[in-house]
Amino acid sequence: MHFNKIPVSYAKALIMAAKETGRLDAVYNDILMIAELIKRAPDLRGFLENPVVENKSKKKFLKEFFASRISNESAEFLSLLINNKRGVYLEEVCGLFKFYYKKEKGIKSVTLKTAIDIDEKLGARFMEMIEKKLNSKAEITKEVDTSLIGGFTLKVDDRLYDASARAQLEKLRSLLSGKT
Amino acid sequence: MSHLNPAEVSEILKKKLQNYQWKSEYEEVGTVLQVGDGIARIFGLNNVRSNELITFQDGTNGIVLNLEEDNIGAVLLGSSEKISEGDLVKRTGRIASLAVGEGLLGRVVNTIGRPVDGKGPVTGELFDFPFERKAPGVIYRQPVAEPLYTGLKPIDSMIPIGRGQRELIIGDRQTGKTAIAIDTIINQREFYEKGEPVYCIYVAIGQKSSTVARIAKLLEEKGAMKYTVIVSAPASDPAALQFYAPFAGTAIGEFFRDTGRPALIVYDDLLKQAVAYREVSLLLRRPPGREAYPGDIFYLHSRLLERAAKIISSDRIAAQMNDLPESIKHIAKGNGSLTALPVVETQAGDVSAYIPTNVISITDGQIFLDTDLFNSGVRPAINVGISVSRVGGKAQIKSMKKIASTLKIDQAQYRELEAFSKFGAELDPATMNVIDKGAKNVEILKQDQYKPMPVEKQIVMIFCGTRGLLKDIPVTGIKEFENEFLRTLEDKHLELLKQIKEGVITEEITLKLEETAKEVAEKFIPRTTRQI
Ligand SMILES: Nc1ncnc2c1ncn2[C@@H]1O[C@H](COP(=O)(O)OP(=O)(O)O)[C@@H](O)[C@H]1O
Ligand SMILES: [Mg+2]
Repeated sequence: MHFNKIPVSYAKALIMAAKETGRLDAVYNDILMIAELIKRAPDLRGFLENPVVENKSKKKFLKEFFASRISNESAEFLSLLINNKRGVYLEEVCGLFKFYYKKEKGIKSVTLKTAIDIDEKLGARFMEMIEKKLNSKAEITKEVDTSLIGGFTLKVDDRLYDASARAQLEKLRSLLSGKT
Repeated sequence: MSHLNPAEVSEILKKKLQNYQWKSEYEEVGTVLQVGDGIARIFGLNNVRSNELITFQDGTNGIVLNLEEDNIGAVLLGSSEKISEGDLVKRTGRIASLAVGEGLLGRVVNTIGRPVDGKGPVTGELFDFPFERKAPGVIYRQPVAEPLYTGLKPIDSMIPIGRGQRELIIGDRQTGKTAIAIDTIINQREFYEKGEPVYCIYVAIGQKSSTVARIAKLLEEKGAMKYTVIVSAPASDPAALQFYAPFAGTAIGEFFRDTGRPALIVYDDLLKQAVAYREVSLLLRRPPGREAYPGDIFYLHSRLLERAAKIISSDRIAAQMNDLPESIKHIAKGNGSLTALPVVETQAGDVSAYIPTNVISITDGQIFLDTDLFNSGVRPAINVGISVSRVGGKAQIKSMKKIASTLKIDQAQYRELEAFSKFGAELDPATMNVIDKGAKNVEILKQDQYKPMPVEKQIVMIFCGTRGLLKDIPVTGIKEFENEFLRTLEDKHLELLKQIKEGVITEEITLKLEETAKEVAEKFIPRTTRQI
């Protein structure tokens, strides 16, 4: 049941188009910015999704707003999306684009969460270990998450290694309460 | 307590903990792409299955509905407030399910089995039952053979329902659909008290919470909650919970069915459920079809109602039933049943709308309720002429079958002639007789709410009607006659009532009935008539 191929197709098309013009990195930066903006300003999403607002005014707004800040490729892509009445999908397209970009570049997306702030030296060693193990480029994010209680979690793309105290306690709890 | 040795406690705990290993594994996770309106779109989770339960970072659960290229669509079983783009989503590896057991009886729970009646957690042993489950195959079924009494004269006499059957209750709003369902549940008290309970599940979809609370209170007062579970998915619940509610209720029904017991489930109503499903489907961007419903709405209802069944009596075969949950294999038994009474609301009596026609074609018959009848005081407002039960006749007891056999035709004839008589035509005595009998029967078939009647009493009353024994009693005196007649039989001929209940009907019995009816009728015949 493929009901939702649309955002996938658009994201992939954007990757291909940007690659052709050799502007993949620039477009990636634009998309990061747009995604951030949608996240921060939910009104924008509402505006783009609103079928009552005419395409013309949507495009005019986007042009004025983004004109100096994004590349031609990205601007044209936004126009296309609006023209085809696919403004609704912008958020998903951005999300998917980020994943496809990293896949294209062979970049692993790694997130290391620890319960307490780890010192520079330990952090650096950890990172080194990860890169060696993965044997590829990695975009690494470090976060402190006190809800882990202790230990760490490591997420590499769509895999999660959960070595936190919270996860262990959760396992213990379900073992003792008999629920699995 | 004083004998409890701390060392023993430690030993028990130690045993439990022996299985515990401090071990972490890689697990598959997804990332939220977009969330809102009770729907989340997630990137990743490439190995997730349809209908699998997933867990969001904040602990909220969801059910996977759309599997697509590189992304999935899921419905949230809670609020989307604390979920945001970029959040992690984990698989559970489990198909969405419900914890069911005897402890649910007397309780009001929501779609995911959480009590909403403020009476604390559900107690007792609970078993995991999936929302979605294949219906039992033909070899595990047997034909409908035992009656499921509604306690309502027009239904039990002319549109009889059998255990394992699916009978639709359909009509406009405020025509007494819910009343029929609730009365049927109340009527099962007789069997609970006899130690042969028919377990009831009332699924309230898209109703007001206050309405559901009122129904729960009413069933409590009528002593019906002891064998009843209410699944409540009020209008204020997320659409996903509303459209899964019938599946949750059915899972509970299957627990009773597959442990060898009779169960009855009411879906009130499937139109509201379809609307909730439509909402979710549109949000998931599934292509809309007729009346904007998704293309698989028919399939949704048919696979739900297919699960109503009468299970084969052999325990051995029943235990091998397809898709039987692992957790109850050791207590599975044959001979159980699940009877379904779906309710569908129509607009201005239009049964040819999409959802009504669908559900009519899936069920084994329909009870049509009519606004005009309701307003003219015929309640239950059943339009007998177009109501049918395709399989229930086989389950009717002999005494009822014999006594009520001509009732439906009599009433059809009556309605025709009655319309004719309105033209003021001069009518012959035979015609007058038919009209009089019909009018009296209409009166007999009326029944107050919350007063379901045991089958033997229904039979003796219908006997009076079809035999024309009420000829001299005015229409307004029929109800009083009924009370008096039934009281007299209970006082003087209890044994006879018992026999009729067993299905026995002999010449001797009918003679006795006739005699008693005539005696009682005497008191209700007006002077003027008597003198003639
Ligand atoms: N047999 C009956 N006798 C008298 N009143 C009834 C009867 N059946 C239903 N009613 C009343 O009619 C109203 C509508 O009934 P309800 O079952 O809620 O209708 P629906 O579910 O079709 O909307 C309620 O106020 C109910 O009490
Ligand atoms: Mg109702």
